[in-house]
Amino acid sequence: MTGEWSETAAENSPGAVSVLSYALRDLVRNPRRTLASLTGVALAVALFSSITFFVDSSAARMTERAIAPVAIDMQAGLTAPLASPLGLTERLDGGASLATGQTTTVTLTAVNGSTRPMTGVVFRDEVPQHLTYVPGSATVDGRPIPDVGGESPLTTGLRVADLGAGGKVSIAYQARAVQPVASTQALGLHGTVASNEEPAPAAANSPQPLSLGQLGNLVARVPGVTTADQLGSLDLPAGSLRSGPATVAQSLRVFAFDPAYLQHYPMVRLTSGDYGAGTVLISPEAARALGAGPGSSIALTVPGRAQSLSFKVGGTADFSKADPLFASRSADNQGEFVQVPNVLVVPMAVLNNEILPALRVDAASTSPLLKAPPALELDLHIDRVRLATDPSVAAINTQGLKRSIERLAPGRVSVIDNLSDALNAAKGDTILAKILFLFLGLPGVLLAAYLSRYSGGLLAQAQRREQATLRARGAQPSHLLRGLAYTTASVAILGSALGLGLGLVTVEVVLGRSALATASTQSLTLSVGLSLLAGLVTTALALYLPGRRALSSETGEERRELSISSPPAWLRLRLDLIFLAAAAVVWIITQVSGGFKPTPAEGQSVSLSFYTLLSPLLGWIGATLLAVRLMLLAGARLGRRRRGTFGGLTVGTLGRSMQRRAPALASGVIAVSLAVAFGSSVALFVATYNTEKQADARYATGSDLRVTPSALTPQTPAFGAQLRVAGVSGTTPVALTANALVGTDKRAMVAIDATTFPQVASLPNSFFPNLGSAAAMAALQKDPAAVLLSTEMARTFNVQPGDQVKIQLTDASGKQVPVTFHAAGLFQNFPGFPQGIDLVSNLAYYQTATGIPQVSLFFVRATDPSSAGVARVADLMKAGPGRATPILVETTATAINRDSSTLAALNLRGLGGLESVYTVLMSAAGIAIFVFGLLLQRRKEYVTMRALGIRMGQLRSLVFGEAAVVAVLSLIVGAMVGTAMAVMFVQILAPLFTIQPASLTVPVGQLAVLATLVLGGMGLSVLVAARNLRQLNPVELLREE
Amino acid sequence: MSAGITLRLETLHKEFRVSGTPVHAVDGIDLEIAAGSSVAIVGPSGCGKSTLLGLLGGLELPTQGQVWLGEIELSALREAKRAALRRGSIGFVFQSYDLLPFLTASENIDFQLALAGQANGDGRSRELIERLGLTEHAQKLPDQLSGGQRQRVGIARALVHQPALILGDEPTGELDSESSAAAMDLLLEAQSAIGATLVVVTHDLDIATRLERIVSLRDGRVVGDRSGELAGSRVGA
Amino acid sequence: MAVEERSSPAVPVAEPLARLQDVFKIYREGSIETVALRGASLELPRGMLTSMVGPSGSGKSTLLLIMAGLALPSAGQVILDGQDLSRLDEAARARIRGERIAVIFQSGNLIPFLSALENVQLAQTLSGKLRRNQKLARDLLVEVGLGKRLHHRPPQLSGGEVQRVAVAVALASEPDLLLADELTGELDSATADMVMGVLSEVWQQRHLTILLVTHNVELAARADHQLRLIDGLVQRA
Repeated sequence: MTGEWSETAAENSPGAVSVLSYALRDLVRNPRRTLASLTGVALAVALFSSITFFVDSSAARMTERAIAPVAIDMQAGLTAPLASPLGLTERLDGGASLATGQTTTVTLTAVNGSTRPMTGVVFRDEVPQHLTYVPGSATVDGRPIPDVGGESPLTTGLRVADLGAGGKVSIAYQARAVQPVASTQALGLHGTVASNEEPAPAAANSPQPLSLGQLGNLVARVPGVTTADQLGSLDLPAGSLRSGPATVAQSLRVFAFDPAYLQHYPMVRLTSGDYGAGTVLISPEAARALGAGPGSSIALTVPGRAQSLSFKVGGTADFSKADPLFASRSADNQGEFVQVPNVLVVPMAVLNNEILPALRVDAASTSPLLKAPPALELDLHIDRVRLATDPSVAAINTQGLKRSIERLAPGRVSVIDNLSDALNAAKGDTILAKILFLFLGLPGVLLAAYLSRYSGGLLAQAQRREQATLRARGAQPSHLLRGLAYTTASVAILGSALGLGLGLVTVEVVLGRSALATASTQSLTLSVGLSLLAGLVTTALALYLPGRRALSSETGEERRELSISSPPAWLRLRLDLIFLAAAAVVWIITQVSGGFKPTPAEGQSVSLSFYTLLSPLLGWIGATLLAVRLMLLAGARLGRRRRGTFGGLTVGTLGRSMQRRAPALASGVIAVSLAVAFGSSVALFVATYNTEKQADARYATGSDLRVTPSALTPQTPAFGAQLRVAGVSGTTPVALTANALVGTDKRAMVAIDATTFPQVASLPNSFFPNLGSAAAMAALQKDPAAVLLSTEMARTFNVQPGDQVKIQLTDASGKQVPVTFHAAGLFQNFPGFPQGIDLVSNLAYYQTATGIPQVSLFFVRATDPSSAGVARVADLMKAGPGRATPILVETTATAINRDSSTLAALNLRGLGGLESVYTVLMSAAGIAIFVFGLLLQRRKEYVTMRALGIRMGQLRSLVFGEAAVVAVLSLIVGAMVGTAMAVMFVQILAPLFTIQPASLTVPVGQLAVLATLVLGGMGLSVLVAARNLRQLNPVELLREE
Repeated sequence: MSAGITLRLETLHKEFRVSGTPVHAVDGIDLEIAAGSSVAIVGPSGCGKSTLLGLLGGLELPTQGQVWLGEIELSALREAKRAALRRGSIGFVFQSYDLLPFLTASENIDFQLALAGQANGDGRSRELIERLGLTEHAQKLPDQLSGGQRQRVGIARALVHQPALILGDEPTGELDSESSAAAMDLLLEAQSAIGATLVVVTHDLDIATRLERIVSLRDGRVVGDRSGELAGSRVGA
Repeated sequence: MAVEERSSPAVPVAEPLARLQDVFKIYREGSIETVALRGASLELPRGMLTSMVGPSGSGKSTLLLIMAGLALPSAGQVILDGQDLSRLDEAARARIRGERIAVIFQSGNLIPFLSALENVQLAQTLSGKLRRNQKLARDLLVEVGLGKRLHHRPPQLSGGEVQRVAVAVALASEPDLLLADELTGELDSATADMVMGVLSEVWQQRHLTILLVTHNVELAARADHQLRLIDGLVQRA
């Protein structure tokens, strides 16, 4: 077609103006127009990108928090711990098969894989089937040795010289086939070798032994591993440990590690003495049972060894916080901890040289005493720096590391990767966080897109004349569409670039300079890509679609402007009701299908059903539109009142203008209300979230602080007085036992002082479903034998308040004593014990019944509950009473950090800050667009009024009046809708809270600032508009043509 | 004010600059218009008549020379004062009537009253509406009115506050011949009733000859000044 | 004032280049209907300059838009060289417009952010007429006397210059039919003369068919073929 050909020629020939260059020139040479259309897109992309960048930056911290509680990063365990360090291989040389009469050489090679010399090394071997010994053919390392009794010297046992560490020796002899041997490979080989140190004979061709030392050397070369400590672990039966006549009557856990382990793994706490050379450590319980302490002598009986091992006790070590050491290492019950109170720690050398050989003997015997083999492993620390990134990237890192380590000795090493498990949970949480943030931010993005459309529509009018000209010049619809496409694409790119820049800047300003330093490149790239996509979609909606529609109307028709009060489309289509209905449907479905606390899915620590978040989103739009509909109805009703006189100039004109052109006002109110609702909903939600996080932390800790005296120096309630340092407003003692036997069930019981407890701990009524907290505490105070039961326990045991409950408690001497309690009430949750307890009784009664005067811990309330105030009290405690008596002080701050859900500890404050910034920007933009829209659309009438002689002040008032009405109405509608949205958010995001929030926290200050900024934005717009008004020249009316 | 006002233009110049080249829209005009008289200003397009009207109404200031409304030197006043004069003493009829789109016909008229601060002019408003045959259209919005009806509202608006000076810029420009004639009838009738000075800019000679005096302009200067049909029909002119 | 039709007797009666046949155009605005054209018919003889006068509001602009295919008639036919434009879709009309028709609007209708040169180049691109041996845009502008104003943009040009650029833009598409609406509407007499001079030259050199719509009676009188448009109907004489 001529058109197309010429078009290309035109674009190629110099000095031509093609459609593309026209579009570009349009953008470049009309900077104000272009900037206005860019604003909406830029804002949308800025908000979107700032949220995604924020999430990316949070990801690294989520990783940090996820792996913080991991005590042992990776455990590289030997698959064959009892493999003998004395390795033996046996080979036949020659062909794969043997004919009768053919000879072959049998070679046995032994290697001393241990670190010490082997003495008394003895070889044994039977001649393989179908073969017979060739007399005189035996050699040792090539040197011939004499037969014994005409037979191979190996039959009875051939002793060779001592083998040094790593030493090798080869025995060889010849054998002749008496029958044809089809396959030499299939022949069974039965050589063995044993030594004094390793009495259990090692069989030939058993899997290559690998020692921890060797593994350690290999692992040291793997980059990313910072420390590798050897650890051995085995369980010995009751009575294995003795000190004089005293014996440990329960099963004993023996750990083997060297002193460096204590430094790398502070979960094991040395409580007395030290772990010097040649000494061992025992747990306090074992020490008590044996009556032993640092310096005592103790003896250990090891299966497979007749003589017991003697040790000197160097010190005592507390393993109560070292659960991971007691973790089951078998795949079946991985994740289970079985704490053993009696523990012995021996040096690695003792394990290797004394214990393991004995165990090998025991294992090789006909009825081994030891049921389970020992665990030998390297406990590894991984360099955390490489993990300072997105959980999924970090997980890839750790998994790769795990594979590298296993590849060092395939089949002989099995790695337990605790980091990856934690990271996988965080990975799921990161995705949830991203989606959550996006949902919280999505309204803002939609709003910016709407603003973009609003401003785009106004500017389309300005371009109509030029489009008419183009059509007159012969521009075809395809030309105009292409031009529109170019313009859209350019605005999209430019707007997105601006938006990305703005997003980056806001993130840095609100969250700090290095916020993005820890984000992974991969996630940042994805974020940038998504933001650009968002920009493109926004521009397409804002510019392309309306532009397309405008193009299809005729030139002549365009001159006719829409009549001033045509009802907007959404009103006719009843979009407000549709959206509200949809929101209600989503909400109801969620309620019906189980409510707002769904169970966590695999790989997530908390689960949220995201489609429920559609409900507040739809409600946001629907409620705002409905409010505006009601506004319009009210206005129409007022307007129907016949107005007698005109009224004052300003009031009369303003009133009629607003009534009769309510749709214009409505658009403005919708835009700004949506922004205000969005901003206030986020502010309310974040404030509520933070308040509840504090409450949750206090719930987990018990009060502001929780003080646990050392098990070695238990304290009586009197200690509470010592804890009253400056800044403490109250303390209360608590006794805790996990051994309250109800029937045959072991239950956890807590004994409190019902007078001081409610003063120190937070007891919301929701914890006590039927009673309320005050009544529950009163019940305890009234009846010393009163006991509160958990709702679950009451259900299981079918106990009603008033029933008698018989519980067996362990007394001071360890005996069980039956105690009668009276069930006084039920509780759902109890502060201080988030893992759940079953019974709450009176401390005095408990102490009398058990005769145990000491308590387990103290709750402390601080006058200043902020993290700074609480930290100060903690320091004072550690420096004061904590100096003389070892105590563990935990605060609400550490509780928050220990929260197992990384999702639950999101930096929502940062997000709230970001979104507040954009709310203000968008409200301001909304009002500005409204005001300048007024100027654009009503230019003619303003000019007319000026020509007729209106005072400038009156004219300004007209503009100001409508803008002010928009601002005030928007604040009201926005606040109401925002509150409703916040309530919904709190309900939907309930899984994030341990304690359900009872009410919204209203950040009055923040909301006041928001309102002020919105009004300020309006004021500013009107000021600028006023300047514009002044420049209107009424002479325009005269030069019509 | 129910008596007209004398207009005096003294060596009036109005110059624009378009890309460096000066355009003399009004190029030295001296003119005196008697109080209560009716004058048509005619000339081809671009002759400066619309500009002249703007200067007469105080919508613009001259580059040189003076505009006198009675004893008031209009051209020496600042915008606020000129606006005051416009709302109180001048009535404009624009070519496209420029009614405020959100006010009904009667409200558009009342608007002018409110502007002029004449709250008790209600009676006049209703009277004008009746005389102009707009009674059944009084509560309609401009977009519900025909061109002719809008024109009448525009005229009523220009008259309701009984201005001393009525300025019309092609008041019949968009009308067909029949409506044009009717419009002029109305204007002249109302003008004589109030006794205001009437200045009408038009390029239609049929219209122009119906007034007392016809002033012809060309390239910003007066090139003709003769009597129209109405000349001599005024008492004491 | 009566206007007579005058045409050269020696010209053979050839098929007119363009024709309107009983064209109606009705605008609907809310509840009001405006009839702009009521059965207008006219013929544009090939190679001749036809003028059409009529007061504002008579439907001149509408007629021009329909003639150019920029608007569709409510009823009637628009025939260009035997082809009825009103039956074609926008794309086809745009193509014909680009190839054969050029329109000059009242205020030049230039793209305000493109220079004079770029405006002409744009017209060449859009009309699809860019051929290797075609006159360069520069030459066209020189022809209308604006060789020194190539890179100025419309806001920097005077009224007369804008109109001359509009002429150059119109010529850029090498049209057969040139439609001009109030070409000299806002110009003073001297400039108007100059622009008309350019138009005449161009018309004679290229044997264009021109329809010049104006309300300037003197200007209209210079044409070979004269028409009048009154109240939506075309009249000769």
